[in-house]
Amino acid sequence: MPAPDQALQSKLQSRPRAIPHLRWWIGGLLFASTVINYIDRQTLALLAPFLTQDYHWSHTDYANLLISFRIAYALGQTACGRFIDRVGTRRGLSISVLWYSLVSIATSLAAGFRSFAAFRFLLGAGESANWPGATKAVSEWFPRHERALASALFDSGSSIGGAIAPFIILPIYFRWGWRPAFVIPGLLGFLWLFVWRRIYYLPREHPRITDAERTMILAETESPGGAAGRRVRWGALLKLPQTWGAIVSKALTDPVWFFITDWFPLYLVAKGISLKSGLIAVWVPFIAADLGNFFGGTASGFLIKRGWSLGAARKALVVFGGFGVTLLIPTIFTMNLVAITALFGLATFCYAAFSTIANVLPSDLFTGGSVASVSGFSGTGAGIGTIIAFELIGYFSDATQALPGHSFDKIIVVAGLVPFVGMLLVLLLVRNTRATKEGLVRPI
Amino acid sequence: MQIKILDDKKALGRAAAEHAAKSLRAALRENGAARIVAATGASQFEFLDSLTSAADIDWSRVELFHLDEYVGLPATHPASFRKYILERIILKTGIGHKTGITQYHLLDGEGDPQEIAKRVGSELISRPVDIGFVGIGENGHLAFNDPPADFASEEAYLVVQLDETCRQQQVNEGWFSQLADVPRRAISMSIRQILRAKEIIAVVPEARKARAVQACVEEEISPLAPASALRNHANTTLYLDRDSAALLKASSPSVSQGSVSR
Repeated sequence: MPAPDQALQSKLQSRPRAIPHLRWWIGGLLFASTVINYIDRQTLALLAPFLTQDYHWSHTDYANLLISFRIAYALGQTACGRFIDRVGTRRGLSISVLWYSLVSIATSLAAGFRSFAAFRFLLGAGESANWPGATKAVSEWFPRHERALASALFDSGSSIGGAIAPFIILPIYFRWGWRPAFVIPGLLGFLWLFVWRRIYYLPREHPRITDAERTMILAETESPGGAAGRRVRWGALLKLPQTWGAIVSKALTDPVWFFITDWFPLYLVAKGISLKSGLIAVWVPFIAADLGNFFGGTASGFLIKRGWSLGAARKALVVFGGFGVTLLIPTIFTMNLVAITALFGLATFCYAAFSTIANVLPSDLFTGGSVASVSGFSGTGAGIGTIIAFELIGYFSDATQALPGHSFDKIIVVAGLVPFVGMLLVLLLVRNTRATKEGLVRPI
Repeated sequence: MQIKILDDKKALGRAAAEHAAKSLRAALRENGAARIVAATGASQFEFLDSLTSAADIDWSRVELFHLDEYVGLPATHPASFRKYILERIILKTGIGHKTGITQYHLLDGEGDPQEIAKRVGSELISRPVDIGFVGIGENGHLAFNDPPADFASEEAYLVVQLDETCRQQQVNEGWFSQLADVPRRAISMSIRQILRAKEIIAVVPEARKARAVQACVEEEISPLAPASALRNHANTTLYLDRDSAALLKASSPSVSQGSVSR
């Protein structure tokens, strides 16, 4: 029998009590940070009907406020990703949550359009760290067959955050006015920060991890590959096909999501369906997206457990998503609310499975020092893709309004095909190359 | 090959660790970094305990490989060599800790073995190894190269079949509860790759190894006694205790009796 190891034993006894399945507590904390992130950013949208009146903002003014957030958010992801790779997940997310919580609170001091625009910009910059940071945390804490599920978990914080925001923000507004409605959600960030500082350490140095969990995580997340943790330059990262695979997987799926969430009701109206009868239908894509997220995470984890290679298990879901989103296209042939809603639901479900893989690819492909950077790139790519898509949708829907038939038909066809193109590119770009052998990229 | 015979397992572990620590410090001093290959198994406990508590070794500049791992065994299994390496070396010394660079290379027995062998192998051969630590199996194996061992392969790591003696040894040491549980395949560093290390320190205590030691030291160099290949290496020291050296003739060349310092 192996002799008991004295040093290890005494070390074990002096440690605080270990928490089993610690990684899922950390997953929960990442979920919570996404929820808070979304509550903070939804505050303005929820108060917009009142603020636009109080401050006499035109729709263009309001749109400009949204854009100042979007621009900071899109560019911020690349900057924040790099920053988090540099200072580490613990410090990086601490600083970003502190940042956007303070900005949210400070927004209560805003006095007009300019100060609102400035605060929105600062909020976008701070909040943009959430996805790169959480993706990096997942890469540090989860073995590969659980990574997609863990990503789906924190990602679902966005829909949950969006759903509960009205119940927090509006009562505060009606009771105390708009200023406290920015302050109180901001305070949530401090609560989160308190827990985060206590719970987030790397598995290796965590005082409360069980030995079994640490061994399981360390044997998986850092082996093999001597380059794990090596910091790679931006330029070098952008030369790798895998980086572009991660970028297009997000840039060519995210716009479809925003299209579905923002234009679906208008699409129904354009079809002559009254929103009153379609009210439930509007919820369907959101529910389908959440289910699809978890389906994508669970299914690819299941395939890995069945012995599929990491790459095959991820690409299977990408193919599922790429084909699935084309289900949007047949909606142009029907005026039936149930059929349209069902097809939108299915397409959104498939989109979400794809998008879970898009979120997890940076942590699959890259080693410690570049995960957040690449996740940041893909976030910026998604931001730019979304802005382009919005311009195009606006242009095409106006341009075709005068024509017979439905103004949305072309847009629907394009939206249904864009993730398909994304799928083809992912299949082409995400593979093992010489950089894999050199240890710059992890094998897939 | 130099042979040192110590009184018992403890003294052996200490002496070998002192030797290893000295070589390690020298390599760190000369090159600013050191690459080592670690052995696993019950025979290495005392040696590793002493080595990992040795003073004045800057482990953050040490890069670690290991000899072998079972195919299909999860890292959480008590017999997993990755678990062994993590808990008995990496976490104790902090290899690759401060720098943020992973300075260890574990053989993922759960992945595709050929591919893992190739990938970790290419990392391994990218630079020379300073010190290799090895043991010798009851069947004379070196790493998991059971007899007849492949003395010719130039590959760094091989995917090998384990013979029954070797698998039974794992049950006897308490790593598995029965023979059927011991995997039949492993990823193992090749004999040639082991011999590429600049220095080799072999740690072989206990009476159950006496026959294998005798075969490897006194009989002809042959794939049937895989560890006999160590005699082809210019800078190998074989550490034995009285029990494992019991079958050696006192007249064997290069045997120096008595304990080394302390």
